[in-house]
Amino acid sequence: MRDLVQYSIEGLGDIYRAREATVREVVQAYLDTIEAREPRIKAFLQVFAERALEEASELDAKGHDGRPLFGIPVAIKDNLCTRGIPTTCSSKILAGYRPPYDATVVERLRAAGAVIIGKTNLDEFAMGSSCENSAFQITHNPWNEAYAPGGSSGGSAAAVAADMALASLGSDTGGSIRQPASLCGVVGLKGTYGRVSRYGLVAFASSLDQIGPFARDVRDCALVMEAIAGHDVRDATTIPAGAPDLRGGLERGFKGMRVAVSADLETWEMDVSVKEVAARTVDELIRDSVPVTRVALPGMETSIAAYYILANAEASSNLARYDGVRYGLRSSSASLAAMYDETRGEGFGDEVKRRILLGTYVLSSGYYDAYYAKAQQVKALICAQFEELFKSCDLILLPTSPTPAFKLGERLEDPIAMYLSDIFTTPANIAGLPAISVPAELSPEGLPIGMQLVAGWGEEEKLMRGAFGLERMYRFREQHVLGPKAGRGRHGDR
Amino acid sequence: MPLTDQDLEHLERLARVKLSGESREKLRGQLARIIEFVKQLQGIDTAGMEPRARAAGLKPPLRGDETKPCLPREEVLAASPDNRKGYFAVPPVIEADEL
Repeated sequence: MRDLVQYSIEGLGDIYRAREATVREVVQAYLDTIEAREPRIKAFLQVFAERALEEASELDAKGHDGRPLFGIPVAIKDNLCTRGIPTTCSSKILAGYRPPYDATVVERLRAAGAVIIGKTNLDEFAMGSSCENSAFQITHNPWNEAYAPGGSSGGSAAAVAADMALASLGSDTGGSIRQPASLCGVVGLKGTYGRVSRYGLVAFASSLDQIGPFARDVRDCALVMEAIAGHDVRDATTIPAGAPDLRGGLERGFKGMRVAVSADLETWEMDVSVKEVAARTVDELIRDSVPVTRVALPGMETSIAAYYILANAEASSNLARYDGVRYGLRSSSASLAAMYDETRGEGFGDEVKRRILLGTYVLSSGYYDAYYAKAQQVKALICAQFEELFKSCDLILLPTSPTPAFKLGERLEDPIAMYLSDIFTTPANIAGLPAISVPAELSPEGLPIGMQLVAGWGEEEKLMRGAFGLERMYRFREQHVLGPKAGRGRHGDR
Repeated sequence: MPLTDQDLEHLERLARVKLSGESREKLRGQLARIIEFVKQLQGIDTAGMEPRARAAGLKPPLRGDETKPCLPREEVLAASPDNRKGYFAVPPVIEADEL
């Protein structure tokens, strides 16, 4: 029996059109992989075995109709609303909550023919960098189960890394797609702010949140992004344009583009293996005659603090709705005020409480100017610096994460150590710029290291071209596969 | 700089979140350290920069004030912990001893 989980999105499309396999067979193959691997990885909060097979049969009855994601098994982060299906944000306060509507991205995936295979684990309300803040379960890195998959979209990243879904959706507010992509050895993309509709994404920080795809390679990632991106009247912050063509120019790679890298990367605290990957990448680009300039990258010193003020301020406002009145958990109390206090005290985990309280603090009277208004000025500064930099370059190259995956439990006692995981990813969120993580190499300990590209506002096409160029350079998937530890043995070549 | 108990109580009241037990003390310490961490922002020279809410200059679009279909009431109420006669039902707003 051929290994049906080995095929790319376009590869499966070919197989379906040639009737070499049915959607039902493919979905079953993915469900078999889930059965074999999921007990040790725990990426999923729910797996829709029956429903997915039913949908598969319906698609088989129609036959391949040319839709771009026809019969493609996709997993969805559990902070994306799925009508009538529990959407918990990995929080006790939304345990069992069934939204009365689908998120726009869910509608668009279905419209493109995708089969939704399950909802994935996340740090509670997308607040975290390891998936350890989930109220329900910890997700394990498929490359080594003692390690974290990253977060907050750790479940979605792990699902793709372990072939339990061909693609998945996550959300990125401070790096929550890119960082787990790097730690799990998959491609993770966050588009320009406004590229993908947030309608149906449970809000964390509305001015920063963006939904984006995880995939095994750049082409698959581009395909999924094309299916979900584009203007939506239901999200007034979306860019008034359709989804851009992200695949047409991929083969050109870095041709005609100029790359900027940090002039002082060595001074940043990061794992030596990450520094080496970054240095080797730059050397290789130079050998390939790609113009590389060394500059002071915007936001490197400033964006983390600005991020933790702005994001948590917005979070304190967005999470005010979880009060036990209209949905979710309600603690029984004698009065309304007590109901609010107790519901939220019981329903939120520690990290969520930390962030709500910090957000409350920076917005409170007497502190607003020193913190929140100041952070907005810093945001303006970072935006201006990026705008200036992109006049003389097309792409910025830097590591995604300062370290490969860390051990589960290692950073739990020190929130600030956890926050510093996002040091390379938050600038793109602050400035609303598109950014992607591409798997580069394995560390000496066998853990993936990703490299990140950032492009100018609206320039996803350039971003994907550069990502393709990196992918071609690294040949990560040709060289590294999950071993027998992942429960299923080696794949064949793709 | 420590976060006093009163400071924390003030925040709890504003945020309507009840902290209890040992997690309260732990959170107080962590919050103080995080505030110190984000304070570093104050050392950054932002002279001349207007506070910026949105990264790009896009203005939010407006639409005409027309009623459009929305979620049916029953579907919305279906998710609630308690509802009666088409309304969300909650405990009394004013506590008995406040009257």
